[in-house]
Amino acid sequence: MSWFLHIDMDAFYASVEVALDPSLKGKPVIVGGRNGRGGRGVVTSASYEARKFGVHSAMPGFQAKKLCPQGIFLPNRRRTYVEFSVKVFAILAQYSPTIHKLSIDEALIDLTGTERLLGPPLKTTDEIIRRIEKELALPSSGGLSTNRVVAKIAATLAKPHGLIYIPAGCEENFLAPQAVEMIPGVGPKTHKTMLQRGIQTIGDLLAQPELAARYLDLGATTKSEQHHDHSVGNETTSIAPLKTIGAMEEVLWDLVEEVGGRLRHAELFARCLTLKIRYSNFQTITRSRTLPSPTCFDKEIFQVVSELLRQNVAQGRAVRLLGVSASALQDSGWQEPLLDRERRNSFERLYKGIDKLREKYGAETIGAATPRKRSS
Amino acid sequence: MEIKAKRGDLLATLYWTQSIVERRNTMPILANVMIEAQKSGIRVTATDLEVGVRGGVDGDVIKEGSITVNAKKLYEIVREVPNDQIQLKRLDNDWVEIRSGKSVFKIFGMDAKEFPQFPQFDSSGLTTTPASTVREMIERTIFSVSTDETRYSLNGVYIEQSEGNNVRMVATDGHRLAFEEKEVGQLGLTKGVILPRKGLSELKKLLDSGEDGAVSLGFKENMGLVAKDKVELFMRLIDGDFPDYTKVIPVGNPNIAKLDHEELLRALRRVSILSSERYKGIKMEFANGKLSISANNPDLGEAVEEVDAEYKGKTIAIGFNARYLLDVLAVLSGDGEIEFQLKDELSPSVIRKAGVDGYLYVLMPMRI
Repeated sequence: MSWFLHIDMDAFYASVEVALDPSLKGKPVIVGGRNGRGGRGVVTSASYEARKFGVHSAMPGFQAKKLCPQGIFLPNRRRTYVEFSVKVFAILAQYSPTIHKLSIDEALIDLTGTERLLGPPLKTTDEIIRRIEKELALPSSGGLSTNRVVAKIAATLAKPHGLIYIPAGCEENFLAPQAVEMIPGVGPKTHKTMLQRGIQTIGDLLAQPELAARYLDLGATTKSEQHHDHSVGNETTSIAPLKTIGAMEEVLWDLVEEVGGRLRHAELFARCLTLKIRYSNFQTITRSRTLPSPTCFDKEIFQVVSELLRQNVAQGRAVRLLGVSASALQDSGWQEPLLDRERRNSFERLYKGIDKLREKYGAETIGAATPRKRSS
Repeated sequence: MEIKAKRGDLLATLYWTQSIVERRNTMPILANVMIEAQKSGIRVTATDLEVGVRGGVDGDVIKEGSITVNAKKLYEIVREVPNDQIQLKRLDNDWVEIRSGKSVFKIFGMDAKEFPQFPQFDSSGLTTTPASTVREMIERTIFSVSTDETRYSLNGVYIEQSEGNNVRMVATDGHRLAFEEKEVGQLGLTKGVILPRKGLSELKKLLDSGEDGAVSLGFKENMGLVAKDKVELFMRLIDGDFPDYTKVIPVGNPNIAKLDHEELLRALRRVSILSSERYKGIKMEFANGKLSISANNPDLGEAVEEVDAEYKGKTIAIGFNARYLLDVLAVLSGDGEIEFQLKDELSPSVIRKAGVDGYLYVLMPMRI
């Protein structure tokens, strides 16, 4: 039998700040969204004390300030959070050889076959959560199930600082009363169409096998052929308006690395790349290019989007947001180039290596050698 | 200038000018042909600056001189006139009068002084070779030339002198590569040059027509020069670096499959009906003694066909663009055996035909 443990760190950035400064404990800590005069940034993490006031991540800073004036606003320290993330994953790695890093603060640990060595999975789970708290002073929540999706839903419900264990055979009973929007991949749009069909709970969905097979395949033990995402994108609002091409390209590199990594993780190639530019007056333009051969390699993606940037950005105007997205995603069905074959083969090897390092030690471990400033 | 000629003779020579004159109106005079009447004879010339053609016309020179007129209109007029005899005369202000039987046309031309210079041909510097050899080499390579104008150096066929009197022609569009080496003669090339597609297709047209005979080839500065019978052709060479094709041609692909040309061609035609319009992707699975060709189209359905093959290598399932395969089978026409040299599903394959020794085709697979 398979056992999957989904670990999700509670209010990760805010919790790291509390771990580093225990005097913040029990206070409404809000990371991001501060950025001085403009207050232009967005909240990246809010402690549960702050969430009581309605503050949540991705909320504009000024709104958070309005809801929670007594909040303790702290700047983003991504490098620090990455360091903590690496430590969390180092603990997890002691329990299983198969750990899927889902994000900086979320992991799926395959505990299948660890019983003889470590004891029952529930005991192991409990030990993991306690160790993270004891050694790193960080709260986390867990979901343990024979199914990876069920484990994820359980972890979400267990928050904050909880653990939900679904014994084998109880998966459907556990899921039935939950809202369909709990299913990963069911976004607002799908949710709406489901509601129109009278589907409110996962139980309603499971009663319609053909729909259930599409959105929640409990029988699937391995990652089978998945419905491809329509696009993979990433964008960032700059703290200070970007005025030079150099500064914009620095931001682009970060975006490209994220997009490229996600494409490769999903084993997809993109035929179309899009650059989004938003100026300080909120005027927004997007420019796309279709490629002769699809790519998932950072260097090739960067070359295209930086060209789009140089061709399209208005001289002397400040840019507040840049976005990169990849679409027309495919995993097969295109003609490979004959002439650039060696270069592409070496890219494939290079990025496989990079991705492996990043998966093991975190995203900031390795990056492209470009003349960019290090983020603080 | 005044000349008299047979309608058929004039029409035959004007024919060569029709696909060369410039369609885009960048320089108005490039839409014209130049007619020159000299004691030595009558000549008709057209050029778009990249490619040019000049042909002689049998006829009587009544008065020497020259003029240029619109190539399309002159051709149409000559084609339609009622009488077998035709007379051209330059009037004042560069008008041209064309008389035949009871028809009279007056069209305005432009002064021949404005017409671009045709390169000096010195036929003694050219190498004469059988027209059929050159025609075949062009036909077997030109279809692989890239149509992507941003890849300028791939917009033509690379030609270089090889050992002895052998000449190599190579074309690639970045997905496939066609290569042929044959005995042609000494072209006087110290390094390889790139002949533009338009010039080569004009040359092929010229060689396609009429008797096989001989064709004379040569190079001068940045021009390729050709003479066949009464027609001379020049083409400006592409100024670019052709990729090092020797690195692209795989050597020693270990898995060899031999198939009947005709059987393979028919199976590919059938199966590719269901491949996607854009990429024409098909799957070829080589296994012991057989090849299975299949296409799968999510919008239409699927097709599969088995073809006998002489094959003992490991099982390889490889994707190809069916169009690229059909292209090469078309130019290697005739009975015989087609040989696939395969390495694996991600490496380029080599395709050859038994009995066509100097030719090979390198094809990069599709990702399936």
